[in-house]
Amino acid sequence: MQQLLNPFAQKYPEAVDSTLSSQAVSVQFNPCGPFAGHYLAVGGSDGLVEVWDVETRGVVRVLEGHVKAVKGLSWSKNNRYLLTSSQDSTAIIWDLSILSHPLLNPQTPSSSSSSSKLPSSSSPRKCTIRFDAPLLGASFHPRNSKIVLAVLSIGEVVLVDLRKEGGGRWKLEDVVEGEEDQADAEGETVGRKRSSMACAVFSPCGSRIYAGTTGGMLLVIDPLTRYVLQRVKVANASIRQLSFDASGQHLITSASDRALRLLSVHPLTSALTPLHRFQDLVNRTPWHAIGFSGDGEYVMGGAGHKMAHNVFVWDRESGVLVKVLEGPKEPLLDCDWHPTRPVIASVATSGDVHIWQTSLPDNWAAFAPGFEELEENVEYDEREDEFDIEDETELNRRKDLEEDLFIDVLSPQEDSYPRRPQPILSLPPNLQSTGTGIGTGDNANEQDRVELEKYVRSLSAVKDWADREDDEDGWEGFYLSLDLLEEVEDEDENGS
Amino acid sequence: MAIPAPPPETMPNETEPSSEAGPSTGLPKYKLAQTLSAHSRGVTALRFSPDGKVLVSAGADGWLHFWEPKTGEHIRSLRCHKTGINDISISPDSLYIATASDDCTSTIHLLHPPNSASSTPPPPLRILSSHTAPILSIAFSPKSNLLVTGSFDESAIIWDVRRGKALRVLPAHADAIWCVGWDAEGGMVLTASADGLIRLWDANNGQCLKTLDNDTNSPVSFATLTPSSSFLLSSTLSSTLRVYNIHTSKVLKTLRAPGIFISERYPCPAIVFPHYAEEPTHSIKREGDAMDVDADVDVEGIPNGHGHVPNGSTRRRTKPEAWVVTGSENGKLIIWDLQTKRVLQVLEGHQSPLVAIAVHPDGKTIASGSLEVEKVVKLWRDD
Repeated sequence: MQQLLNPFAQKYPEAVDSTLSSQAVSVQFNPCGPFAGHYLAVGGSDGLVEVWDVETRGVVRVLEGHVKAVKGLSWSKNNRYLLTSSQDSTAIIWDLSILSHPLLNPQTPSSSSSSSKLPSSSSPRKCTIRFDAPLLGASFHPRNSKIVLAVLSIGEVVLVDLRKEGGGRWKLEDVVEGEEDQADAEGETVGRKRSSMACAVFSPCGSRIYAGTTGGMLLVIDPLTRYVLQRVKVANASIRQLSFDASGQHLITSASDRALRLLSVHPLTSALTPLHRFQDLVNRTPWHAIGFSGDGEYVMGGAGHKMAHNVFVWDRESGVLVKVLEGPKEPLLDCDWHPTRPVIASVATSGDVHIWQTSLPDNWAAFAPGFEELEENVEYDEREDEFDIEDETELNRRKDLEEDLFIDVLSPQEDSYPRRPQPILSLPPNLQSTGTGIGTGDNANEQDRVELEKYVRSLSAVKDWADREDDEDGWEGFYLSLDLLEEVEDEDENGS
Repeated sequence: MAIPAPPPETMPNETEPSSEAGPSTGLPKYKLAQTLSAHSRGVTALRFSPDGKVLVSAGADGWLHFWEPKTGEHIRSLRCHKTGINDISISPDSLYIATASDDCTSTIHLLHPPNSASSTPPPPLRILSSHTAPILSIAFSPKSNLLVTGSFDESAIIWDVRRGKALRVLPAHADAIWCVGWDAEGGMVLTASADGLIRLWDANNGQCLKTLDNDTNSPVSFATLTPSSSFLLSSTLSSTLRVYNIHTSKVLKTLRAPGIFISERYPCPAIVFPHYAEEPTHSIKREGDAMDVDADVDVEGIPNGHGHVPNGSTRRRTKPEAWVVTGSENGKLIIWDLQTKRVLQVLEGHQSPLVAIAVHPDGKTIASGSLEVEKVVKLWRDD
């Protein structure tokens, strides 16, 4: 379908298309799968979590469990589970496949695989994780919803493994392998420990944890050993937020010095290279939300103005500001970019969620069969045989011959929707073979290769660790079934 | 109405071909298994539920009948319209069934309602009324959250199932819309009309994306996107099936069977379904080029891009063949091989025109329903 859309259409939104009235403080589109971006999770200031159907602008799930504002939302690998984290110091994992009515048992590949599920568990709440302090956010491991990364407001990052085997809870520390013994001896280490972690995310392939500290450091952590692999000074101020693009190759940080920094991430070594720095020099805007467009071509910054509702859009490649979306005069709390379309959802302090879209010009050419719109006039060259009169049997024979090719009508298109990236599990081919010419002669090259092999081994160890114990979220086509036995009240009729 | 390919099953007995049939030729061998009669007027639509547990037949008498697909046993019945039902759709999660009726409305019911002693039929969960003429076709979106209906009033409507309200009206065609459908990801709607055109629409904003025509301008009685969503199978009232590439608008295959397949007056669905060869097949002759591509093994197999003669162990994992089944006005069912355009089997038994057809998700059972005077459902099985 993507191929039928106008390739020259604008790739970022223009104006508010509709407003969903809610009590929102946070929003998140489901990022992956055939139905990527079809749902919008909305965390409420009162602790209520809603899942909206983006197509119908209707609430398909209301999840009651939190008692304070829900700041963090995270979708599992194939969207079956939703992780919500709240200021009431709990995180809850919801199973969205469960409908509360006992009569409704959706028949899907995911439900048949989890037939062991007790019929009495008609509550969608799968699991509640309690913490010592209010949560700023929590996210699922991209490969397994039984691994959760939580960021506490007291500057702690906790990795929670809910699996029966090898499960546990670990507070992540700024410790490099082999360093802990001599930690007290060195003043520098002590000094470093004073800066606490302010944000943390998994890389989109799930191989690494990236954490930002109050001292402006970016830490790359191995989730399996929980040792810090890299430490990069990014800013001279506290890093408040981190966000990856869908491919995991770019990372944007938001720091308390009101600058956004774009870095590129090496997929194998996770080496970080600074690319651009974005700032609103006129107003010195603090940023409340950051992110990328679905294709990673644009960087989004939700401005924290007191009197305006603005979303800044920069071109990632050139670093140029391409658009400032100006909304109603109420401050912005959070925003998220749709994974496949030029659509942004933003939350205002009033609790309303604004959906930004482009206005599409009517494509009249699509109504006429065999009609093609041209960008500019071209001189038409008549084909040699265009007006030849041909024998009908000959024509049919040729047509028959033309139709004699194989077409694969049954396999679904593989790359037609966004998926989570896979970790790199083998060396690039130009480094793989050992005995090719320079291999023996060039020592430095050989060393590089050994080094890279170490990375590959470590990445595949993390993948094996994460893939242990299935979380019954293996069906890519998961969607939320509707409960039609429940009457729809008229009051939630608040589309556009 | 194309059926997505289920994962290939492992065939334990592949070394022992059934003795009486000799080595399997890979040809369909459907035989009449049951004849079901319950409708007092013609059978207009048939659907197997996506979970394969129930077969639903709809009739011009306004009744739905529910059948056990394996035994043909009558489970229950439901009268949901006073006028005839033209089409039905079962939600992909097998929870709900929607009807399209001559009374200009559609209703949504539970597919598996609780057993109740009361004789009064349960009221519909939703009634969709906006069309101004009989509704001819209805289809649930892949996510079960939207319905699209096509009507005699020349418009198509996308419905919000949860609210039971029209979400978007597609000012679609210059004549009745006989068929509607979705792509596999629910982003695109198709409408096929008696004006001879098939249109594709962006379900999100109602924009027309593409229009396909046919060289004889015949009314399009049926159209469906194949699981790969790049191809579209259509049936026109000129006894012709066509496979289009929707991006280039080119017709890639034309299926005809003069004298056997006749579709001039009544629209009958055509269904693409996968057939997995059970063992190494030798009798299927193909052009060399086609063989090359076709022999490509599936994701899990060993990639042998140009292996001419795959051995038995890889052959089991080869891509399924695409078969097409449709019904004819002379009561015959025709099964084609979509690639070779060859008629593989003709099933005879019905005495009246066929307008309803369905294939069980496992591909082993085909159901067909006939109009008056016969008005029966027949189950055909290939075991």
